[in-house]
Amino acid sequence: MGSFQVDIKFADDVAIFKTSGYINDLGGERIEKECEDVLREGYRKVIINLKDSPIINSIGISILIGITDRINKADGNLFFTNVTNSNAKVFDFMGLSKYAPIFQTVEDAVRHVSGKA
Amino acid sequence: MTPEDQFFGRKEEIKALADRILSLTDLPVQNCFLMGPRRAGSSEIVRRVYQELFLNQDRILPFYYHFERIFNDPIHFVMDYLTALIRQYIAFTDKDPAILLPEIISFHAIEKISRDRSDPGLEQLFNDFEAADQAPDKEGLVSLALNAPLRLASISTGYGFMILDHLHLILQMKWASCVNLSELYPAAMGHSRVSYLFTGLKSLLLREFLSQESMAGSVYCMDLSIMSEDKVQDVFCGLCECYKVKTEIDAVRQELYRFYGIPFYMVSLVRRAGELKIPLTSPEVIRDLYQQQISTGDIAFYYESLLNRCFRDPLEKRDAIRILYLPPVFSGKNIGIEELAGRLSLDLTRVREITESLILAGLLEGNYGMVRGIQDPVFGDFLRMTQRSWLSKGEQQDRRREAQTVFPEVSILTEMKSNGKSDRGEQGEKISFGLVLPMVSETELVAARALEQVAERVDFPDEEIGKIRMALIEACINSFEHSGSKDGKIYITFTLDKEKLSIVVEDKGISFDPSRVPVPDREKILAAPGRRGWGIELIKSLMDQVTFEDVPVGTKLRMIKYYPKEAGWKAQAG
Repeated sequence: MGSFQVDIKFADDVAIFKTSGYINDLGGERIEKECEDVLREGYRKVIINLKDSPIINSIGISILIGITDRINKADGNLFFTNVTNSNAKVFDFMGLSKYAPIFQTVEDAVRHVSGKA
Repeated sequence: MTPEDQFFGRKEEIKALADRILSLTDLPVQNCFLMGPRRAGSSEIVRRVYQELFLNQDRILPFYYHFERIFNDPIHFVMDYLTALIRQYIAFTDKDPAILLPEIISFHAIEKISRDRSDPGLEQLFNDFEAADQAPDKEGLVSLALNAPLRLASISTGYGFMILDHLHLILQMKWASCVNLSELYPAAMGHSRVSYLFTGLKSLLLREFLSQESMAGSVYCMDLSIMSEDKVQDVFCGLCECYKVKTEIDAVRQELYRFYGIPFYMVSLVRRAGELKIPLTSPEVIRDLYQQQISTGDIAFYYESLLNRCFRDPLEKRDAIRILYLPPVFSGKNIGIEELAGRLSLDLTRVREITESLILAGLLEGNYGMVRGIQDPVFGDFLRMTQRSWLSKGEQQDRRREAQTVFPEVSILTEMKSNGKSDRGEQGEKISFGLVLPMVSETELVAARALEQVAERVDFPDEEIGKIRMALIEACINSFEHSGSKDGKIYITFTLDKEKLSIVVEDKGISFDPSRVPVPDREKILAAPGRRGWGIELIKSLMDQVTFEDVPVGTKLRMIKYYPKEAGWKAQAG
């Protein structure tokens, strides 16, 4: 427990987050903090790879919604990848996927962002 | 004081302060607290204000005192304070700045110099000192020292101006033999002929000094704002020139936000570039040097020293970093000490002590049992580097051990009953498993692990297991957060029969009335501090049936998921 991590890589003007562990309030706030940092650094395109975070609770998703709002308000875009089917349903139910599209893989999301899809 | 050729920016603040002081009349004047982030340069500003007053006017007698040490005996403070003030009085009246040159001078030496001057005012001051010292009247001595600016002003210019740098240190001087300085200063600051300007840690002074009734309305707070982008560029270019470092401002402008407008950070980086003879002509060079500064350079050394001064015990220091790095604290949100202790599984008393030490060091803000991190991104980057370095040094092993303790690989379920037939392995129509969980942070994950073990007996598709798991996690969190259960436990029962999986989540706390739960509103939830409110709706959307059953005590939630047509019950199949 408490081993939540966010690794960040950059590809051109895209910040790619890879989370590992349970996304609850703590995990969500950690992602939120990292997002604030990359926004401050000038990045406006953010991809969050949830491959190693199959378990997310509603508070974690609420925070992700907040992050989506924050990025959209900064004229940016957020994308999720590697979301499990059950989590994708919950994202739909809570209205997250409406503002932050989900892609199968990071490569798919990067292609979309760079207009090569 | 920083040499003139290395001091950039803040000229407007100095002028504003000097103008304010020089406009003094014989009406009562308001004292001023110059507030600013740590290392923002407030000390440098007040020293320059003193210099300005010393050199360029003769109407107001200026004083400057820098609190640097914690005096354990009030008499030592009194002697140090009087020595500084009388020395400055003599230098000002003689118009001789050389008297201020930084050579050590003792109290007895300044007394001898004073008595040799045949100055009746000074003579009387020392006579009063001797009388109080012999009494002994320690409180009288401290009052004498604190009122010295008024006495010295009254025998010279008529008006005085007292600058107190790092005033928050008086809060750490607690004397058994005398009333504390923080309680005596308000009276000294109430005189209309001497005005005060002071600096210090904002949160501490607001909480423990300015909140005193006797200080009400007597202090004007001047916020030392973060330097503007233009000013930061000017300062940066000035420093590069000073340290003979080549730069191209257009190329590196985008990186200057890192310094948060705080000169100390810029000086550290530019000075290092000068030592290494590296030109600061590209963003990459600045990023690399910045990383070096916050991991092993002067910035890291500064914060390491602060932490080491607060925490001699390395484990205590590690807990302090954990507190500072906890997301709500780190992102500057208020969090209660008790919640903090709960989240980190630390003893409440220990958390209180650590947070208080951090507040005293200016590394945390706090009041009324709440704390929050300071808004300094550079300190945040230092914390991130420190945390990463600890993780790589061994915390990962600790965490693996911790995870194994919490999530043992052995079965965590108790098989309760199997419909009257023999237990494990034999065919039955119904089988139940029980689990009792303590209400502690993240144990809903233990429930999720248990569910996976139960679900192995049924061919649920992964997607369905994911939905049930989320519903179960939400149900557990609801119990943690709303039951207020005295036994602090959640009782979970999984029952498999021919057609469905039933999960009962029960607690012995306050009854939960689902009809009073509002339909979640996205905007309202996002605006609320805890961002909660989705749980019940989510559970209903994920499970086939959800019912709250009437129980005498607490809440009993039953959730049902029917097997998909293609799924079968493995226990039944043998």
